Amino acid sequence: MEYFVAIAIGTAFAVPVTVLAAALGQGRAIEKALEAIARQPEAAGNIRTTLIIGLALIESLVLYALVVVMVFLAPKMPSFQQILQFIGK
Amino acid sequence: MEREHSLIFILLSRYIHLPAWADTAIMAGLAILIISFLAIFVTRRLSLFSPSRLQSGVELGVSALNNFVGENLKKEEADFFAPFLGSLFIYILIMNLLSVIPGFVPPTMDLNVTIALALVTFLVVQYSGIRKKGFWGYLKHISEWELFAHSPIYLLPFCLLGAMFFGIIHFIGELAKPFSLAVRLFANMYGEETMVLSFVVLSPVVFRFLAVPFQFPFVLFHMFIGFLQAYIFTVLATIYISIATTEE
Repeated sequence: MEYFVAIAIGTAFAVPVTVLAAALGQGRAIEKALEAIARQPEAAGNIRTTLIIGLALIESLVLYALVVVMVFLAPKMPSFQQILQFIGK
Repeated sequence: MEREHSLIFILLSRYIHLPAWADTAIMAGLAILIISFLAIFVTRRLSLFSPSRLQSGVELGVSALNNFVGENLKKEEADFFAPFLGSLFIYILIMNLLSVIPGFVPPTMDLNVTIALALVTFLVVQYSGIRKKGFWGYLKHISEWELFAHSPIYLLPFCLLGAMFFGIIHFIGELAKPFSLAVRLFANMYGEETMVLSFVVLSPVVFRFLAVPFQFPFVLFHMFIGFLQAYIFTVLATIYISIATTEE
């Protein structure tokens, strides 16, 4: 029972924690890119391309967490019948 | 992937019945067919002096791809690897955009497809290193032989041991590259597709008999992400090749 509780807590917290960290990172990246564009508007095209690549790379970290949850944690979650059995005990 | 355990698929199976041919292997074959027909159709009536609109557009795209590869690689490698990188980009792009058609699933939503693509990229990157430096040069590159090259001869066993150590570490680093490529593409497409499907389901769940296309903005976002992921896959493959072929 405690095992399933631990899995449930892990599954619930894995992605949101990663999202928090990635959001902070993306915010910093966008902030610096906007500053750079404001300082040098003629380099806006290059900066935008690099920014989008960087944002996508940061975003994929969140999706790694999602994959870990889906592949390793979610299949270990109890099924509906198992939960009913636990409650019935 | 064990779909029975995932809540979203239990929810979906109540409302959506994907046809049996919506299989990733068939979809990948369909993408190849689409690209082949496009290529045949475009190159059927080529003209040097009065190119058609389609020909001009495709030439623009090809020259943009060549320019992009030429900026990141040296001339010789760029000429050799540009066709591979370009076809990688077009193939992944078409596969990602297939999901816009209702009832179709993008093949990149399947981990098997993305692992195959990443393994091909891995082999090509290693081959580019061997092609540039020769087999012994490649071995020297991954075992950091320059560190040991000037040591006295009686330290040779220790040097070999150290080189083996560095070689193993480098090889593990090389193996992490295709893994991250595959998982990035798979996770992006899977996440987007799950989000679109859950918004498709939202309308019948909430309103019962009214079909409101909540998923429309997410489909547009899906198209953008599909393009972006194809681009990033190609950029990373190009960067890996340029890392493998630079001389220290």
